[in-house]
Amino acid sequence: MSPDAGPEPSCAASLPTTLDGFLAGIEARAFRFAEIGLRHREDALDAVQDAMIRMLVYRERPPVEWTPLFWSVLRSRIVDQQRRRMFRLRWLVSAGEDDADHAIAWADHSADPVRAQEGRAAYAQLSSALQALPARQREAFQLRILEELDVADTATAMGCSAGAVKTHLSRAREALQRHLQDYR
Amino acid sequence: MNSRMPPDPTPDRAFDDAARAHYREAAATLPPALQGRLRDARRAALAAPSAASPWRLAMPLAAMATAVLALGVGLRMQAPPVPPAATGAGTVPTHPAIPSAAPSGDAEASLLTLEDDPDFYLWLGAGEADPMLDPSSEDCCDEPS
Repeated sequence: MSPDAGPEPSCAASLPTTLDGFLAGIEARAFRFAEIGLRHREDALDAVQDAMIRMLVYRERPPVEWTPLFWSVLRSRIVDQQRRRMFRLRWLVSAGEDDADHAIAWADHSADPVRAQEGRAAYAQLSSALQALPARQREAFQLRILEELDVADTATAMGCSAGAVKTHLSRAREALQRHLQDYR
Repeated sequence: MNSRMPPDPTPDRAFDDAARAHYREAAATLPPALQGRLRDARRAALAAPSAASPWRLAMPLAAMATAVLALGVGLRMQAPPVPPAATGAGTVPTHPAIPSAAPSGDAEASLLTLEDDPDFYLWLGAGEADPMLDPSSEDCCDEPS
């Protein structure tokens, strides 16, 4: 496998035919995606809702186009939120903020509490390592590996070339593997 | 490891699969309250007026039309008033034979012509112009009594 290799493209036949169904199926992963990028629960919720609203413009597009469009829109909303946060000068008030907004929200549905705790810890480790990456590398890994988009769709969502996606992904994977030895 | 050999893909694949599994598990274990907020956000987003709707331009167009109308009314109100002489309303009727108090350039030229005309002085001397100069004369006033 080449360094840029990722998962096989997902099957288009299983795509939902309504925008409501599409958003219902993607909203939880979209929240996790935004949570990693923004490190703040309320900001992540805002970004996901904004992305949903903006997806209405593409309601008439073929459903096969919704996936790259949605991730492209969500990515731009995350960038906007990050810029807005700079204007809010959060660093001045960070001491008074609620730590619950930064903690990973996790519901324990598992019958095995130990297993659930391990899963949460492993995800926290992955999330932390992703947050340490440069933004473009993080986006490439999230879209190409975690969301299983193909190279072309990842490039569309990121607004860059396929070659740039491969470069970002290779560097991201290398950095993550250095930090997450246990994942091998 | 021989540097000419391609890298072994298995570690990358295993790493990717493990990362994806934890990511999917995290997405599947959102607290119910958070799932409810996402569901509410989706319903609110879908209930919002679509940005692609043709009515999205209605408000800007209406505002623009109102602004143009207000601008037109404002310009009309600020226009300089028309001199009464131009409208003819409210002016005192004058006798056609008596020159206006503010004669135009043509009238002045005609007066100069009269001063050079000896027949004009003959007419004045014959007394035919007296009824026009006498305010008590009935001929000098066209207004009904």
